[in-house]
Amino acid sequence: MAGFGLVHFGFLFAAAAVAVPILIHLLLKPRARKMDIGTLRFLKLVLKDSTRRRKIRRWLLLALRMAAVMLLALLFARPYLSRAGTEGREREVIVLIDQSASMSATQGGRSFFDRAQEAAEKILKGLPNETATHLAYFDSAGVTTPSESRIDWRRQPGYGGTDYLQALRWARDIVVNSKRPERKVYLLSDLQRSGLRGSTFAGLPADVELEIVEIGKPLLANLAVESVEAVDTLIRPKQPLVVTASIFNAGQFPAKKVQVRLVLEGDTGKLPEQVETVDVAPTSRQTVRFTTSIHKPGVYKGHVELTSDDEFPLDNKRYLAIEARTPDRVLLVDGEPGPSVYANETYYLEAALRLRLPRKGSSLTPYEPERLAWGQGSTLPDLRPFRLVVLCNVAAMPENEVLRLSGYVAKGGSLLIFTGKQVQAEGYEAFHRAGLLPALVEGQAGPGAFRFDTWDKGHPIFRPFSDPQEGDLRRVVFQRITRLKPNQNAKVLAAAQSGEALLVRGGLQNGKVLIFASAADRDWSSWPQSRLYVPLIHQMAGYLTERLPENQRVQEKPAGPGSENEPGIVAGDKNLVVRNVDPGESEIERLTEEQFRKAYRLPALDAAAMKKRAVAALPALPGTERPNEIWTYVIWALLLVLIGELFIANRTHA
Amino acid sequence: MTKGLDTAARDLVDPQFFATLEDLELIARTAVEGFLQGLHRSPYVGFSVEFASHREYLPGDDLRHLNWKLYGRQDKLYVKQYDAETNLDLHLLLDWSGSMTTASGKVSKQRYAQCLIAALAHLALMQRDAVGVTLFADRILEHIKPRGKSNQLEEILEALVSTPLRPHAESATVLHEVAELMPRRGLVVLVSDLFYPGEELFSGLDHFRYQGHDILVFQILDTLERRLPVEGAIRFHDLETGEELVTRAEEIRPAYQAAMDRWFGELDQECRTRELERVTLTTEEPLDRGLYNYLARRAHDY
Repeated sequence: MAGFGLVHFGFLFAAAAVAVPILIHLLLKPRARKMDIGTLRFLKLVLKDSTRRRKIRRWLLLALRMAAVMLLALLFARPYLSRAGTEGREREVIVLIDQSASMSATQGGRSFFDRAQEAAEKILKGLPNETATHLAYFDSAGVTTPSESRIDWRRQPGYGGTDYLQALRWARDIVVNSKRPERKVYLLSDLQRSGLRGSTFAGLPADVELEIVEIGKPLLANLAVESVEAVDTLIRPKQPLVVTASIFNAGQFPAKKVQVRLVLEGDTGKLPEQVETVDVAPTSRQTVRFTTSIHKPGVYKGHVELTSDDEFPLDNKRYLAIEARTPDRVLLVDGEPGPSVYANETYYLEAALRLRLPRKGSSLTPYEPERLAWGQGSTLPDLRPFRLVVLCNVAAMPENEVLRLSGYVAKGGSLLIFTGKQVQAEGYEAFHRAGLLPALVEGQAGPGAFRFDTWDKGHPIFRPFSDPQEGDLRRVVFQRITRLKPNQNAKVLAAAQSGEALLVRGGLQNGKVLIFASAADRDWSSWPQSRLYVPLIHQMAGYLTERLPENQRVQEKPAGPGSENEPGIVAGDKNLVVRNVDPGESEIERLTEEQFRKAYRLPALDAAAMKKRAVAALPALPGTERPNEIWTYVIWALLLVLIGELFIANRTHA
Repeated sequence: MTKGLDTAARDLVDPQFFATLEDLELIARTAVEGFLQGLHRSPYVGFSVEFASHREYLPGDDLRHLNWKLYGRQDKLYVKQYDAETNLDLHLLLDWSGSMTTASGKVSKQRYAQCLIAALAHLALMQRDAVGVTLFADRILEHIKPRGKSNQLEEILEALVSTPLRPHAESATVLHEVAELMPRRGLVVLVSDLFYPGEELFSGLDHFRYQGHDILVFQILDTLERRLPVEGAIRFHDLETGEELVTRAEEIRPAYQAAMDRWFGELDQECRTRELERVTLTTEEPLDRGLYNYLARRAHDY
């Protein structure tokens, strides 16, 4: 059932003239001819019988006359079908507003977001009261809904990326659960192409209409600082840190002499600003390289920005923070030195730590391992310069060395223990007493085939291994392992299929301790020769030296959602959070409605629907007829009513 | 026709009008006793009897009238027919109330009735019957005793044109008074629209029957009253009560005609019970044709 609107609502007041035609009719009532008759006896008899019928006719006549006036007023008010159900009770409408960063672009002094808000307001106001409405703002962070489905005029465009898929899925969930027959989804967006993320959308139900309202016109040009990063954060002698910035020209015209400025500030004060000039070809990126004057460890904050301005200024500035560190010294305590270098217990471990991981283009490894062959009468060196101490198959340690080690850990040092055939319960009693061990050493297990079976996928050490494509930990097989009994406060990060703990995490005051249930060399497995050895060693070392992205002091997080967490650098309790606009927002290429529908398996608009929508988008000028006006039906109804009135009026007297 | 009649009275006896009646005989249903011989058969056997002809015996004929001699010669049964020509008292009763002035066409019911009365009187006088006229409404307005004298018709016609109508006549009780004025047995012809309460009308007619009169009723109706053949909004004016009623004629016509038919049915029922003849004539019907048809049927009956 469809509802209707009125082009000229004021004409409905003309319905008050309902009394006029009745008066006119009464005044112009045809005068009855006088005729003499012998008796009224039979006429009275007849009229008495038909009195009830005549009464009904008179009421019907009155109703028809009133209907005629109402229809006349309605005719002048120009009714049109609005496709709304009866007072909207049959309708459910979802309005999705794009609040991604690109919606902050301005044209004609008004942002795309403001235009979208106004368009949404117009849509919502045009709906009947009983319509079930859902208003939502979306970006790459998801969908947020204002209270009571009303336009939130205080809301500002956000800083996040665009993700149509999440919004469409959210809308789909609603319409699928809706019991109302008329369901429609409005999507108000700048239709940025970069918002296409995945195409696994199942589509909307066939009877649900999606109307895409494109906001604003495509930008002609946009320059952006697309990314900023330090090439390396390791401070080496005579090797200053280098910061690179990628400048993106999204427009179709070349950008010449673009000035790019780097601003950095360290703990000791502001560093000199650096400005570089660069030419960027259309739809191309140009990397700008800044050689900084950072020579000391510390945290440096700043940004890279373009000195010119454009219609979308939000992406002209990008923040960065650098934690400049010297390489970490790692003490490898070799519990079973071999006759040759290759036979050393720490050979594979040292080789792994000296390897550079292909990350950020650094040519250097962040670790500087130093080997200590442990034997009878050995003592530990001064542990303060070391960031990490690794025990490899150390049979035992004197009590005082253990105490030194525990003191080192308590002050924030890290300890990694690999077991082996020399590791027995008796030898680690001192460690246990010192509270260094997260698990009690109980002896050896095996021979057998001990595999990684379960592990904490959320832990920073194992996060890279959550995808088997990156390396399947289950393929690592240990013939023997050391049986560990985890302490109450310790956490088992990985376990074998037999339930034996493979990696247990513990700690002592400010320091962290990891104990691995197998050897770091090939004594108990061929793990050191597998492709999983180096990554896992680096993950464990990185975790303990706080070089993993998850536990670095500088954290990069996307800005948003919405207008929350604006771009910038915020200092937390332990971390420094750097937020920037989603780089995809710098793209100015738009999707056509056809491309959008195709990408998300939405039915294409037919020509009639497009024409209808185009006409509906026109302002209702006086004299302009809307395609869905129903005045012809009103005229026919009026004619029928008038004919009926005439017919009955001619037969209703006395 | 007769010297002394004014123009209005002459119109009533238009020769052209009566020409169609010349070959008809008004045969009364019931023979009355009279002292003037005429064409009418007497119910009294042996009185002023003249043999007329024979006809074949039909079952039910009186055996006393069988001609046995003829039976002996021809071996067939014949009955003798006797024509007893007696004088008849013809009582013409004319409703002279306001309702009789109804005239939706050129001829009013009053005019139509005048013509009919004049015609009947003329016809009766030609047959040397005694004719009398009584005009009545709510009371008796004029009464002329039945006579067969030569100027009787003139007198009757004079009464018809000179007596003013009485507008009100809602009751038929006056018929009892009229009946009291007619002690001698005869034929009573009532000309009226019969717009009376049924009981009163037939009570009055019963009075006539009680006195031995034979009764013939001419019911005169206007076309408007009979069929309501008009269209549009009509303000109907009751000629007797002055009451008015506005309605659409075409809207109520079917129901009106049905009501009229029911009424006729009731009248016929009452008439059959009393062995009365009732003939309805409308003013659009030519008077001569109406009388001719009626008299032809009476002639056939007798």
